[in-house]
Order: sequence, then C-alpha cells, then structure tokens
Amino acid sequence: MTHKILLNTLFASAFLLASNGVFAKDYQLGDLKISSPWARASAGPAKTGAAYIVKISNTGAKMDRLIGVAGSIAKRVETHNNIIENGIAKMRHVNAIDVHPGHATSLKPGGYHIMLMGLKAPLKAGQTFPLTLSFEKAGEIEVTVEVKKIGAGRKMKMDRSKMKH
Amino acid sequence: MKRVAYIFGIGVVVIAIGVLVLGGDDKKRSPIWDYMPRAISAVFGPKPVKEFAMIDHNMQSVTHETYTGKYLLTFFGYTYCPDVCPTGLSDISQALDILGPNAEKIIPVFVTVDPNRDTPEILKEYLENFHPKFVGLTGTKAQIDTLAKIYKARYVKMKTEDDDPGTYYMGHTSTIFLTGPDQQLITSYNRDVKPEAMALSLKSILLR
Repeated sequence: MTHKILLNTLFASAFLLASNGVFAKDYQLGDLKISSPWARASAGPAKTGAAYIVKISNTGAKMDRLIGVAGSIAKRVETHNNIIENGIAKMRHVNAIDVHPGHATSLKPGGYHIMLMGLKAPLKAGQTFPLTLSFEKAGEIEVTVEVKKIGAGRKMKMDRSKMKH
Repeated sequence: MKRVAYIFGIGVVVIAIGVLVLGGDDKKRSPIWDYMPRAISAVFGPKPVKEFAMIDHNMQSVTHETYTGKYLLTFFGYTYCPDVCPTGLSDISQALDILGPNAEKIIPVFVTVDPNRDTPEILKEYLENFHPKFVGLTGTKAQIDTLAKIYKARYVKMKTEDDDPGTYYMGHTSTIFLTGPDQQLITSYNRDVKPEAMALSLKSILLR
C-alpha cells in the first residue's frame, strides 16, 4: 500500500517539476555561465520568432563575445538589437554581443535577442529546441531553449492561462 | 487713434493665440504648444477632437466616438513583430492586472501598422494571448495614417534581406499612449517602463 503511494507521489512530483519548467537550465562553458535560454511562442502564421538568454556571466578575466548562433529551428538565426531611430523602433542585426569579464550580459525582451527567421514550424509554448551558441574564446555549446507563451512577461512569472477573468 | 491701436493690438494677440490653439502644419507649430495645452484649453475650451475611423478585431466599425468616457492605452505594432510588440502588449496586460478593479475605465488598444497581414481575424487570434480587454484596430492605410498622425506615431516598412516577400518587418513607434475620457493625450510610457511602474502611474491618474 505504502509502496503505491510512494510511487505515485514520486510520479506526481516529477510531473509537477517538469511542467513548471524547473529544468530551465544553466550551462557552464569555460568562464561563461549561460542561464535559462528561452523563446516566445510565435504568433499565428508569423515565421519569425525571438529567443533570449536570461544571463550570460563571464567569471573570467578576459572579454568574450557571442559571435554566432545556429539552429535548425529556422532558416536563419541571427543576433539582433533593438534601436530607436527618429522615434521609430527597429531591429538591427549585430555581429557580436560582448560579455565583459566580471560582468553579465542579458538577451532579453526589448534588447539584444536571437532572431529566428523563417521558422520551419510555429513555435508552441511548452516545446523545446536546440540552439548552438558560438563564443569567440569559450567555443561552442548546444543549449536547449524553452518556449514560453507569447504573452510571457519579462520575468516569465505570469502565466495567463491560469488567470480567470 | 489710440482706440484703433488698442483694437489692433488685441486683434494681433487673438490671432496669434488662435494660430497656437488651432495648430497648423505640424512642423511649423510653435514649441509653446507642447508645454501649454492644458492652460490653453482651460482658457479657450477643450481642443478639437481629432476624428478617426477603424475596424476592430470583431469586424465592427469604430470611430473617435466609440470610446468616449474611457481611457485608452494605445500601442502601435504588428502581429509578425517578434520582440517589441509581444513585450509591450504583455507589459500593458500585466499593468492592468496589477491595477485590478481600478482598470475598469481603461481600454488597451493595439493598432496594427501592417494591415496587409493583420486582418481582423488575425488580430483577434493574436490578442487572445494578452489581456482579454484588448481591442485590435486595423483599416485602410489612410485610416491607419490618420490615427498615427493623431498620436504623432510613425511607422515604416523595412527592407528585408529575405527573398520571401511575405517576410518583412515594420519599424514603428513603440511608445504606449494614454488618452483620457476627453480623448486628449494625458501621458505616454516608453517601452522600457516596467508594468509595476505603469500601474502606479495609471492609478494616480485614474484617481485624480
């Protein structure tokens, strides 16, 4: 009897943990710690998506730079920044994103982000996909990107599906 | 003689104020206009309401009179926008959630600058991801331009490097505009404003 309860509890906890996305991961690559890559679900028929990395920390003494991102999730994957030119918000392709020694860089909504151009299929909340990040010094690493709901806030805490209006 | 000069002087002043109040070409308007709208409307009466006509996400016609008495939080964007628009709409949604019942008089509005792709149906589906009160507006290019001009918002179609004509991006003003029950602009929030700060600001305005 207790056996069954224990097993069920284990299953339940594992399920709860998994569905809360606690497997949002941190990666270590040399002096770099890469925290929680995530993306927004894409909007309807839109073929462009955006992915972010909550933090890339450089605990080393030398500057490093994210110089490339690759993935089969879309035809083209690039790093972009948002700029405002004459009062108009635009996206600009950037070749590299610096991560200064002793500092952290964020790729976050409204700022630097990874553009997924020509999505092969719409991104759905709850799915994951791999991206390979290339750093000038630290080298390459494959990370798993979690897709959140399109309305996910900057802190990713609010889940609209649980709200009743 | 003195009397003529006196009348003439008053006439000049009235005409000058009239020019300031009624505007003229946007580019030529006096900078005083930016700083004294309340003073002027207090003395000379409310500013003329600028007219617009659009279609909402339910295919209903709306005009400048549809939302009389409400506060509008307006954001210009497009559904194919990967980053700035979902972020802005999400921020607005969170701010309204934080406000709770105080948000009753506020209607969040998403105006598309990309009517070719953003049909009412697409807008409706897109807005289901955000606050349930969100209204989506689209129309002809002329109608969108009229509304954009009222807010002094701008947008531009960007050149895409892709060979796919269906994939293009729009540059657009990403400010969030708040207008009041008299349809005049109260304030605006730049897109970096956090939802908590926006909610606080809205609360103080609503409870004035």
